[in-house]
Amino acid sequence: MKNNMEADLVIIGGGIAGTAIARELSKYKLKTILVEKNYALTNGQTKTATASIYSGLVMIGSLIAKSILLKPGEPLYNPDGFKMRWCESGFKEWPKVFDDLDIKYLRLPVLVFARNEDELEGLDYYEKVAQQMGEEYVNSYRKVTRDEIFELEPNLTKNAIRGLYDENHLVDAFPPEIAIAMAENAKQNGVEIILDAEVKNISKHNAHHIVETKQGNIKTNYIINCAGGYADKIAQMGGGCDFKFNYKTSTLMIFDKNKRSLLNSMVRTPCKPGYLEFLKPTAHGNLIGTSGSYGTVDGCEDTEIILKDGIEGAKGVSDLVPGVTRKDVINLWRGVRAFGTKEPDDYLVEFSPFNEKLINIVLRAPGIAGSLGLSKHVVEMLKGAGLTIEEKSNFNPKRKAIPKFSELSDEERNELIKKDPLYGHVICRCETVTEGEIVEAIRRGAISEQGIKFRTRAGMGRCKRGFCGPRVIEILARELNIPITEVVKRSYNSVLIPYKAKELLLEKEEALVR
Amino acid sequence: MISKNNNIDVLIIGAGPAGLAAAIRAKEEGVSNVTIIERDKVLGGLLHQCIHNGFGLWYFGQDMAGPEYAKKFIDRVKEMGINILLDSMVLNITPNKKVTFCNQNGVQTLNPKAIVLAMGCRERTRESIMVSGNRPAGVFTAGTAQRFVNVEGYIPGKEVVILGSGDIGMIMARRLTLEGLNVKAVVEVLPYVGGLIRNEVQCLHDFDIDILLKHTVSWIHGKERVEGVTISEIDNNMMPIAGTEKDVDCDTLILSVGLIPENELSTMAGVKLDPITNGPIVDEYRMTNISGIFAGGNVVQVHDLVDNVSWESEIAGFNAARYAKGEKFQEGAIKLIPGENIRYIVPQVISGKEDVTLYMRVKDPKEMVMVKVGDVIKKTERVVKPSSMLTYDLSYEKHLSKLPQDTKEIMINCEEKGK
Repeated sequence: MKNNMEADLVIIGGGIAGTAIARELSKYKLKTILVEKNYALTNGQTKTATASIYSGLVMIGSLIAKSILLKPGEPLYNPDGFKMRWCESGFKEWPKVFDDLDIKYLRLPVLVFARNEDELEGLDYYEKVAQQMGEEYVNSYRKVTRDEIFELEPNLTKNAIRGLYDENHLVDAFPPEIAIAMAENAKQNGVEIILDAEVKNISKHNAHHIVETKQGNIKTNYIINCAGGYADKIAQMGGGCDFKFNYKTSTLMIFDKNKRSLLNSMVRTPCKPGYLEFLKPTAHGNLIGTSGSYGTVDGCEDTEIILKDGIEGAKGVSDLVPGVTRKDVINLWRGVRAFGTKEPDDYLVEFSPFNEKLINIVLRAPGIAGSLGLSKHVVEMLKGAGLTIEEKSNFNPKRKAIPKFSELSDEERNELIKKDPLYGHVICRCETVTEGEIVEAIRRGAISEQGIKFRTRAGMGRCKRGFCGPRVIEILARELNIPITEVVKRSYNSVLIPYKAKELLLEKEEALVR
Repeated sequence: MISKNNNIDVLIIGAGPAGLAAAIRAKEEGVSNVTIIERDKVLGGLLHQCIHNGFGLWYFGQDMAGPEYAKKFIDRVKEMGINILLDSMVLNITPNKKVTFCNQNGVQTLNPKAIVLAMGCRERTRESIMVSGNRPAGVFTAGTAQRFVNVEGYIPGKEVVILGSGDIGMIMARRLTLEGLNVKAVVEVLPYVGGLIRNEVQCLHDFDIDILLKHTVSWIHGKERVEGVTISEIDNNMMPIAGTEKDVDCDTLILSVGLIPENELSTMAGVKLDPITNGPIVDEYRMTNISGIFAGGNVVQVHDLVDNVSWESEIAGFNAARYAKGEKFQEGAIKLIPGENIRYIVPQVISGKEDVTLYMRVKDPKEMVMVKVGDVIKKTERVVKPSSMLTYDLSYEKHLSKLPQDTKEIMINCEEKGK
């Protein structure tokens, strides 16, 4: 609990929007505080995203799939909207930022292919949309024959007839890694990040706000509402809310790294409104895929796994690449995408109509790609509102990632171990993550199992923490100087191991004595 | 230390029951440098957390707890002057048997004459079986929970439901009950108990713990920590039947839903796996398709008794030592083919020139069956169950020498009597 904190700006929410804006604001002479309600950054839509940053064929597919949200007669896309402009510019700008922030990413070709008449029509529709979108899109791909398809992807289903091939309009990265890197760089440049700081209340005074959080009150001039699926609640606290959400959901699956070699590109059948199906390699060497319809759910927390969706999804993926089956699934989850009702097809980025010093931000998928453009726009909005914004001379755009032992050469490994022997102690066997990496993650602000996982990949492998789980908990307790019984998964009420052995027996005995 | 690692005859990967037995047997064969490499800080592997009894009944003729059983082997390993590398993780094995490992001294590469793979197995997870519902804290595999309770001294919750009636699941049901937890049910998708009968009696019946057969956990409740589960009957496709749901309050769900041999290193070395056992395809010497790489214990097939793990690994250790000494082996000329109601057979290939013990599992439980090994063995079994491994000794003199010269395959069937 801290008291009497003061800031020029408070960012509420540690997802992609909040962390991207925090980093952008850290370029200026401003006191910025980012508050996150959980024990780890990225707990909502960011962590469940696929992290495709794209243009070309994937953009066409995305527009078609998400067209279920459009009103009848509304065009498939708005070239002048925030979303379209920032996704396009983001596709070009992100790789430089990834390099600056030492974020791992992978450029991937895309193969959209058809197996039957229906899907052939789907390919034709892609081409029609490309025509509408202009030359850049028409030139983003080429047509490929069945023979060419199997040269590109020998493990694809033999049912493939023909396809469209886009060589360079897709980049894959791991969303929590992006957000955490942004946050770390923002922190390097002076932004304060406070975890476990749920916002309880916002009160408006003459020239400032008091943001009441679990970790204390913050006096601030401006508030930037990046609360994702909770943006409506924060808006309401800030004076009023003029939007609601529609929640759409789909299941994503991660497949074992031992299947990585089966694919060279993202492979997919043509998207249909509300339906998508793909399999692609990830920057970290797994395959990620899905197959199914967008479902509608009631809230942003409706992320429960559904067995039937998992089975059908895995079946759909097997129908793309028969060498990948349900047995290869090592993780699955359901992501909820919150679509604001005020700008259903675009990002909502504006000063609250009820509070001239509160900016409401509601991204919609694809959100990561557009968050760079968003962050720059927010600075302009603040300038326009009269906030004095002066550039820092000492802004450092570079951030070094935690060394990834698994990706180093033996020479580099030896050097690292010589400097710190903890790097010679492997904790997570599936992903080959060392104790040195885990301790460094804690030094950088991880205070939960999920915080460690997203920073180091410990626990993201096929055994799902069966081996490293107890060891990571032990290291967290040791480094944070807390009892093992207080180590959490991701939030204050997600304690992993609540009792000491014999504790319950003693309780029972005492109850008998009484 | 470094010099000791230079001329290794037999390198054993893993110091659980398989690795220890293989190392001892290899050393007994007279090779000078047998080295065990182990990622943990101590020898013994999973045996340290298996503080229940039932170990060694066959191997030692004595009922022991896991750590006791381990100690017998560990003492012997130390007496014999076997080289030990602890706290060391193998990162890679190449097909020409170069083994790279790391520990707090750095990364090193070893070049042993022979290798025994003894990495054991890992547990299947909630994600791999896709249990529906939230993803809160409080879902553990049985082995992980066992480590917390028996090694670390912590307990995972107060009220528990266990999915899967494998041996570890049933043993944990008893262990947690003794720790003061309320084990509300053991839920099993199969129409019969997954583990050994003795565990069903001693761990469940003796403690009045309910077992629900042909049921599953169809939903996990609780956003941050488990708050309960829904248990449902399942249909023949293992899917929950609507209308049969029962909600049970609990703060912990423990999974005992199967074990998978841990063969990532084997695959790196080019070792071919059997898609049924998920372990290496081996011959009667427990040699894999890669010359000089042997395998034993749960890395080959998931055993139900540690005694069998020890025995099987001794075969691997013995032959790895012979290989290191330059001895030649008979070629694996005969394939063993799983026929009616046989799920798998280990070894998968034999030479036909030596005595061999076959380990097998059936697909479905049956009563009064005739197990036929080609035409050479016919044996009536009163009860066969997938959870109880069948073992048969094939002798060269009595059985294999009777086979026609050009025999390429022997099929093994488990037929219902009267057929």
